[in-house]
Amino acid sequence: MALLELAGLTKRFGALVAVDELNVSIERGEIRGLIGPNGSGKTTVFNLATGFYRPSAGRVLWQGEDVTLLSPERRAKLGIIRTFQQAALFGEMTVVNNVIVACHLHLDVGLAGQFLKTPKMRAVQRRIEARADEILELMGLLEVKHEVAGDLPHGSQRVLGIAMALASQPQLLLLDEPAAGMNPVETERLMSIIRMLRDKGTTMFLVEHDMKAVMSTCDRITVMDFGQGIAEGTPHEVAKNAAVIEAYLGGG
Amino acid sequence: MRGNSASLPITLISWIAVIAVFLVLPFVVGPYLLEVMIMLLINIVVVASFRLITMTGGWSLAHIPLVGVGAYSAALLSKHFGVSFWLNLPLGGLTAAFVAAAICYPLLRMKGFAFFIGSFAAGEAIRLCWIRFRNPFGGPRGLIDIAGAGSLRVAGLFSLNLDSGIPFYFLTVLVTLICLYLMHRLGDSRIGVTLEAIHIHDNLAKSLGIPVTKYRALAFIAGGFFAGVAGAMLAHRLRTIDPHQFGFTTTLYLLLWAIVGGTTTFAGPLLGIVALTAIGELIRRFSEWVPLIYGVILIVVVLFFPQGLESLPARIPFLLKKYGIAQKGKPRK
Repeated sequence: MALLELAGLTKRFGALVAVDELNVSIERGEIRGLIGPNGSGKTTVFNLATGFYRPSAGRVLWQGEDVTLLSPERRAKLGIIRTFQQAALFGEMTVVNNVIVACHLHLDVGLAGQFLKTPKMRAVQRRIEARADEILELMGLLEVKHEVAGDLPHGSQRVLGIAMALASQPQLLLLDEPAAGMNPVETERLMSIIRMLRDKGTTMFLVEHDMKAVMSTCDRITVMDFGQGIAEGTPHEVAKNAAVIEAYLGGG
Repeated sequence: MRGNSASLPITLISWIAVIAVFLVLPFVVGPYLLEVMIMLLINIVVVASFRLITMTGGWSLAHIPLVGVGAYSAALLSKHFGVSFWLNLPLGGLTAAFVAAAICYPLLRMKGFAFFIGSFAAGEAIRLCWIRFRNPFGGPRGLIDIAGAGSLRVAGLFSLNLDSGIPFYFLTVLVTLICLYLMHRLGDSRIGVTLEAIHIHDNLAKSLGIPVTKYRALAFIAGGFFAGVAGAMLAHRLRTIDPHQFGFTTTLYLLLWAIVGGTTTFAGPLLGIVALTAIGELIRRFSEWVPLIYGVILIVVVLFFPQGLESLPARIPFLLKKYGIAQKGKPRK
């Protein structure tokens, strides 16, 4: 059974059809790429998959169950976690506090316990702090853990965004242009992190413009144009696909 | 919340100084200023509870009406059922929290400007109920002859009239300290960190699985509770309340306190209200000019300390540096 399945997914904004009967099915353990020219609807697909938008038609299935109407928070709880195109972090907080907040799903202490700072809460807090350190070390951010997140260089901010998504222990991680604005060295480092995460068992759905990065990282790629899925396959197959070449080079 | 080792003793010393002033002053000042200080303490609870709501980013214009809900609740319960002052404080808080819970359901679906206007409308709706339903609420004239705090008796040993100036003052100090402690603890706990995160980036918080609406509701209802406690105190001190007291003018003063003090830290709004109350007393004889002077203060603060008075200590090193005074500090990493 597919981990995430988008079935006939459609989103209309007035007369504009941003996503048109898209079918995608992501298997556990793969890195799936989603590419397409600007404005082809990729980010809309992410917003639909994570619950930030409600589709006009079609369904979102999570391990076979219909989650089309669930809120982003509920989907996050199921293990569907996303990052944002713009560096999204809690800029005024320290790096480590960003990751600690991101561990919210694993807090499992009620509001009263949090308020009273019960022994259980203290224990959970210590566990979360240790886990945050682990994640920061994995992502190479441990040295800057006490810096204010908004002061980090752009590349590190993007990596922190992924670190935060990881802190919630996702089953499926949706990365929206993680390499945007990165230099080639940062991009290569990011892609090796992504491959490492796949090897650790995280399934990933990746929107990216950097073709070299996409081709070298993804297991399978879905190509969109004008809201429609026009091709799907391995990087090699997609690169040879006539419709894809047409879409990218522009035929009319 | 994020104080470093150097600023800790300074914070501690300033808190001790503030408490000392509040303990000594009532014996020095006359009855009029004593009354001013009692109102100041009650308003401190109001503005601190308002900060709970601003922590998630919404500037509610329904907060003063919620203070009124606490006040009307205490007044009605004491007039009709003889409920004592002591019980009326938590009951006033609970009533206001209940009303806050009812209005937050639609309000928390709004953001930014819509929230501003929506909360204003909700507050006015509450006030209209007091004006329209004369039967329990007394209409535009409000309620009079509300009981005071009563007296404290210890079986034949002594009896202390809590309604006279100094005993009531210390009673207010006690209630204010308890309320401030509870609110500070809430902001300092993990809940406070989550609220801060929601304030900075609510969509990111959502994407990480934080139930944003639930937390915003929590802040709104908790803020409403403490506003209600303050309202109950107010009713038992003034002995008479009317809808006008909880009108938009009072809301403007609340916003003024919060903006002048700043809302980033717990102490910010408290600083704002203490400074403005002190200034207000100094310029009291120019009564008709007072709003103008407040306006000028607001403009000066917004221009030069956009983060409010609370940002002043942090700006001092910056200002020193700006004027060429070498600063010996620890090297930045």
